[in-house]
Amino acid sequence: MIGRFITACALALTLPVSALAKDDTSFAQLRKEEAVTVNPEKAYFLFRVPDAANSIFFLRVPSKADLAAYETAKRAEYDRKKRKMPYEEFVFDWEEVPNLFEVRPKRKYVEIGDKLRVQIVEAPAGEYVVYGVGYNGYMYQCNCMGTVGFVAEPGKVTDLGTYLVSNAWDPSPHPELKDESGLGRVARMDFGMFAFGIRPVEGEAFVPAQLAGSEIVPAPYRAIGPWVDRRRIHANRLAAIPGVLEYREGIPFDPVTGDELRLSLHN
Amino acid sequence: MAKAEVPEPPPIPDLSSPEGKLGDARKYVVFHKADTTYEAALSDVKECAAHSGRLVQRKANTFVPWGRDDAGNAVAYDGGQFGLVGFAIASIIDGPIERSIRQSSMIRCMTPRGYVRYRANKDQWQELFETGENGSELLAAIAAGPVPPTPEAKP
Repeated sequence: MIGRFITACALALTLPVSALAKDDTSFAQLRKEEAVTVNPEKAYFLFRVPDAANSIFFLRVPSKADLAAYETAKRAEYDRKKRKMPYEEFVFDWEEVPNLFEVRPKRKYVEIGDKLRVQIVEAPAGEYVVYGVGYNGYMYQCNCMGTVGFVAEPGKVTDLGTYLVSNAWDPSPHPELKDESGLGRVARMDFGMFAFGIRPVEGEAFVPAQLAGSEIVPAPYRAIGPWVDRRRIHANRLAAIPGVLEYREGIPFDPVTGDELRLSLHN
Repeated sequence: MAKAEVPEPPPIPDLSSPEGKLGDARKYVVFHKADTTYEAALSDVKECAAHSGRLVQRKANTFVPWGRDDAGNAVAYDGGQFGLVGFAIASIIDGPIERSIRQSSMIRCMTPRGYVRYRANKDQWQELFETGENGSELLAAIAAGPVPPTPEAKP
């Protein structure tokens, strides 16, 4: 594991990432070109976002132990408050073991070219879902109608590619969002809807010098089927990614497994 | 395994309307898809209606009890989702802003599946889908029935 310790660019004047451990979310956006010392127990996300004001939301898939602890805490709070509503409807924001994380646009690691923000995130290793977009700490739009997930391995930098966000009512300058944008005023009622897609990394994508020598791996994206989460404004879908996530007559489709991914209505 | 029996579709009311009585073309719409069945349309309507929003937003740095069943499908969440109810029940609870949010998601879900939107009489739409009891079934029956007599809703 020692070999995975990389201090890039030999910038001796900069701070180690471990300083961010005070952030009790354990999911930390690195800031302003600080040095990167890869912790072999942590995962790192690298991605780029051209000119968008939205936060990107990631969900870490919880372990069975996480889920059990959550249920215990929720039940205790429900009983303590003697709520009249059904237990299943009881809104309970548990912050002991957070797994829904936000990457804010203004906390960029570095900005290059024409407003291309580069983000580096230190995160718990594990399986993640590209959950949606938001603003200032709140989920605005989920990818509940289809998205992708990936595994972020410890001690490695996972390159997530370029995250593209456009207004859904206007045509998008990003060809990847062709089917998700230009929807007209139906996508702009009381609250505007956004088109969201991913351009997986390929070729000579920009990598900050601070990551030179790090083990950088492309995100192993896989299709994730729809789910229900009503605690957001809009529900939408992530744009198709060739070979990873497709839509056939609007239904998410996994081209790797050949499975149609439909919403389960039996719950 | 035996397939669940699909009940007969409800009768489709006369949807014709004077131009001046049509509601906002973004919100007051019904769907139609040529050559689809009531069963397929009902499945689509229920899936799409399940995404209805509630103007309550989840916070970052909290816990989402994400889970998948053995088939890889999402399992139920907490948080005021009122279960996977049909179209009408959510409508009764909702106000005007929730209606626009719900319709945004509904349209975003149904349109890529090949459904075309047709404008609807505002009063009739509210009566059918906000105070009626079988909104999902009625929407599906309309979607699989004759082409609605009202103008197509343009983007």
